[in-house]
Amino acid sequence: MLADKVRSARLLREARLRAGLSQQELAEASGKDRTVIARYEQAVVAPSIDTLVEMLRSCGFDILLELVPYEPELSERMVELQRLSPERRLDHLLEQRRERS
Amino acid sequence: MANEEAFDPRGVLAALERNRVGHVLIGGLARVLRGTDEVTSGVDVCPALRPAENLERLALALEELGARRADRRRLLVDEEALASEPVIRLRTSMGELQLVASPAGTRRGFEDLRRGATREPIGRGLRPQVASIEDLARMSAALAYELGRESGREAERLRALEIEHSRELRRIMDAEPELQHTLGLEREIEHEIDVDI
Repeated sequence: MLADKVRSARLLREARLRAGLSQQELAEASGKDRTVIARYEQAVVAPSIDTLVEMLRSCGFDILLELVPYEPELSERMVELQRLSPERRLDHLLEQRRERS
Repeated sequence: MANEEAFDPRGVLAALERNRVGHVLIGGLARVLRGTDEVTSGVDVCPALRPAENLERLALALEELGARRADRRRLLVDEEALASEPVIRLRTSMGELQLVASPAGTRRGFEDLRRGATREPIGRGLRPQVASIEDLARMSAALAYELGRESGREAERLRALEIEHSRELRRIMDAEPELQHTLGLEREIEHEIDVDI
């Protein structure tokens, strides 16, 4: 399971890059120091949820926050699917469809 | 509703490939190729709207596939038509095909998705560009967000589905480094066994 700071780092960096902003430009847009943004993106520290949302909005994005049941692990079936190549996954899908029809 | 009789995703993608149509595979089929556990029955693609020749090539591929709009309206394949409709549903001789020029959660559709997309081998020598797990999760989450603004049972059902897709993809993303390490070890062991034999 990814640490929260890694998850938020990934989200923040993705939002900034997709908005076409440099760290400096995001710093100016969000009112945060550029070095703080760099530390968030490098997963040195994690922003609070409020700060994360605020910064994502500075990039023009929002984030879906809602409660869902926690399922930490991939099911055995999912692990099995991960073992297959994309070609075999497609074959598996077609087999499943044939079985259903 | 999908065409239950015909579903040949390799055939659809081969037609796009033959005609050199720039596109990224998205939706259920892309998720399946990335390892989700679901049964889907159509091909969803995000086509490149530029250059204009790409749309000419797309039109040729659609002609090859005998594509018709599901709503029976006249099929126009130009930038304006594709950009003005969120989803164009088509029936083809090889199953349902959806053209989605600007999928939920993306900016500039194809241009946005192509950065994370990778070519994946799916057999018959085909290697379509498949949207990344991150982008697929993002699209499902964004679609769920949009559906949350709509009312009605169908919107609620679709929203729950998209949330589940997004969560499943996130679980794969979270598990991936560890999983790849384990699978790598398994392959090494299999290789060693083969060598010993």
